[in-house]
Amino acid sequence: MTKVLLEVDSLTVRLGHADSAATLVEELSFSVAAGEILCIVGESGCGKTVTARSVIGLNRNEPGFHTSGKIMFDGRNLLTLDEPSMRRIRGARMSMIFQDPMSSLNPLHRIGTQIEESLAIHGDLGRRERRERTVELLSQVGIPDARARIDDYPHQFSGGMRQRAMIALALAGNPDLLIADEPTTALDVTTQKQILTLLERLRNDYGMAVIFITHDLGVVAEIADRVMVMYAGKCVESGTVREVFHAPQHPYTAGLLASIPALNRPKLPRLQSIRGAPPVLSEGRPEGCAFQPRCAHAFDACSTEPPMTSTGELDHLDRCWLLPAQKRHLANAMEVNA
Amino acid sequence: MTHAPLVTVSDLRKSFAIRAGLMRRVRDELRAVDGVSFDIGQGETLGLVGESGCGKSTLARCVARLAEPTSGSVRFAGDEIAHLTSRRLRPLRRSIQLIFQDPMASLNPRKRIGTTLRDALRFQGIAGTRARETSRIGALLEQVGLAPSYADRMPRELSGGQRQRVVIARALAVEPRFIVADEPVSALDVSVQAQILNLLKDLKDTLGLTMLFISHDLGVVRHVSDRIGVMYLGKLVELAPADALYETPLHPYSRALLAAVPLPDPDARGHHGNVIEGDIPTPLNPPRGCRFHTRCPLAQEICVKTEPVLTAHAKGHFAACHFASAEHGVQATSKAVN
Repeated sequence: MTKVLLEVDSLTVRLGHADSAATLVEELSFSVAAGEILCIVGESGCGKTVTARSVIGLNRNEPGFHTSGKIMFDGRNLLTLDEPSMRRIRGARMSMIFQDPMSSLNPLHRIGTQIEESLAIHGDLGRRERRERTVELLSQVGIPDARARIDDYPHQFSGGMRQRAMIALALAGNPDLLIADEPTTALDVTTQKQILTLLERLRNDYGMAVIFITHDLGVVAEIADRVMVMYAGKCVESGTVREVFHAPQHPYTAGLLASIPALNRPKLPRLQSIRGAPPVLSEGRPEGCAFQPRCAHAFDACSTEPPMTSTGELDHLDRCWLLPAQKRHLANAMEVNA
Repeated sequence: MTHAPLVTVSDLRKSFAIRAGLMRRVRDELRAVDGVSFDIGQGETLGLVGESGCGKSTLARCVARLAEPTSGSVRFAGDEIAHLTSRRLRPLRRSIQLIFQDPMASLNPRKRIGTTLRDALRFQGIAGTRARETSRIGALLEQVGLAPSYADRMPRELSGGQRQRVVIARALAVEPRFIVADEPVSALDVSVQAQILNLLKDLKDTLGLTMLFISHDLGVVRHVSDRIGVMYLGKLVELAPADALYETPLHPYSRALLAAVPLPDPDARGHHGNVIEGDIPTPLNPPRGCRFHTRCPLAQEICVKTEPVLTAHAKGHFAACHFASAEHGVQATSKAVN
């Protein structure tokens, strides 16, 4: 995990016009190494999906979206790339899967036809080879008896199988980077486990990097190498999955971890919760640290925005004014509960 | 909490006719709930878990009499209510209230919160003078943790968690004895979910409410329930005190469900024993014998031939499996906990 595949530098995404524009993502910087699984975690409206869509350029032509900063992929800045070149990257070098497989699959076309179409666009295989490759892709993602199912329509597949078909479609171009936006949120736990295992296997077999977006910290612990926690359009903490889960430095991360009724913790009479609700960014973000209104540790300094600082551990960064000793206490408080 | 049962369900069945063709003739029958029996004690919370399509919501709708069961009995406070006409049900509506997943769908977007609550009071004929109504509404809002001034707000001005609080306040307005909550926290963000779970638990303790709590999230169900039932394809496969289910699950399906839940601890990766393969079979044509045998790691010949019945294996701990033994259970959980 040495080669950096994607480097995002001060990405800012604004929606709307002039004065009324809302800043959905602000000065966000992160990188993904080849073959690495980065989880972006946060609650609804924190900007995780907007970030992902900006990386793959899905909102670049949407009116009202203003994107600035740099997204370096393979030495090229994707934000300044023209649409035809972007199209050659999208689907071939980088592809995306979604929560709802029917947003990627056309209900009127056979599953096989859709995958073959993608192969035709991004490769130079002949008709027969494309069909063979499609069967191969479908069996790779675990569709039983792929040869018999290749001519099925999406409605003939179950939810988990559609998710697999969508992954097969995303893999058709043999991408270096897969962006997965809540791919298991609509699935049952047993199916979710199957899909997570599949993604991990694909990463191991092909060295494919994955940006995995989710709100479920259990899923993060299961699959991530590194984690980026987002709140109100900014990264508030990032680090390796072990660092972030065992020694959370930001009160928001610690609060999130403590608020899940996890099966591996003793049952408490009450769950720890974070007071209030996440800010709605179109109504403006809170002054200073955006988490301050909900934070149990807020003090004077929090009225100015804290920078990302290192804890000294690997590349574990966080955006909080608390002193290192106080942050350690956050992690300890978690342990007491655990 | 084993007082006399408030709700007794016996051999409840609900089927839906599948109509097809020009004459819309009944072609098939989908047995969503297929012979389920349980009771809920006064002041007890019974949790129901299962994957999508297992019939848990249909069961809840039959118990709350939003739907009429095809056969079987539902007794509420000693009275048979399974086949009452809607007119005879009317007085009962005051005693049984429902909370659904999407609070926005449960609230009239054009009515102020106060009006919504006032209507609830009036429809049940328990309103008084205007001043008394207003003070009652204020008290209700405070009970669910909202300021009385929220009565003047519109639903769209509220966050998801606040809306769900209003829905709970409306359910409480008529002083019900029994609450059926169908995935009440599934649409909420993690940090807010904990607040609502705490609220429901507090209300249950202070008001002595009896609850049927449905969720697909095993962590959530564990947190609120006294006893838990696990459903698979329209049948109850296990029914146990909450702690017993998580410590010694007896049915292989319960164990598979528990094993598939991702834990928020990166060191717990691979705590899973066996991940079960495949998807839930269609309830239109459920497998013969034990319905789980097509995916079960323990399946033997007997499972294909004979359907197991729900039998007690420990005090209050029932499972429907030919091979339900505490030994298997102990093995599985020691894996899950470590």
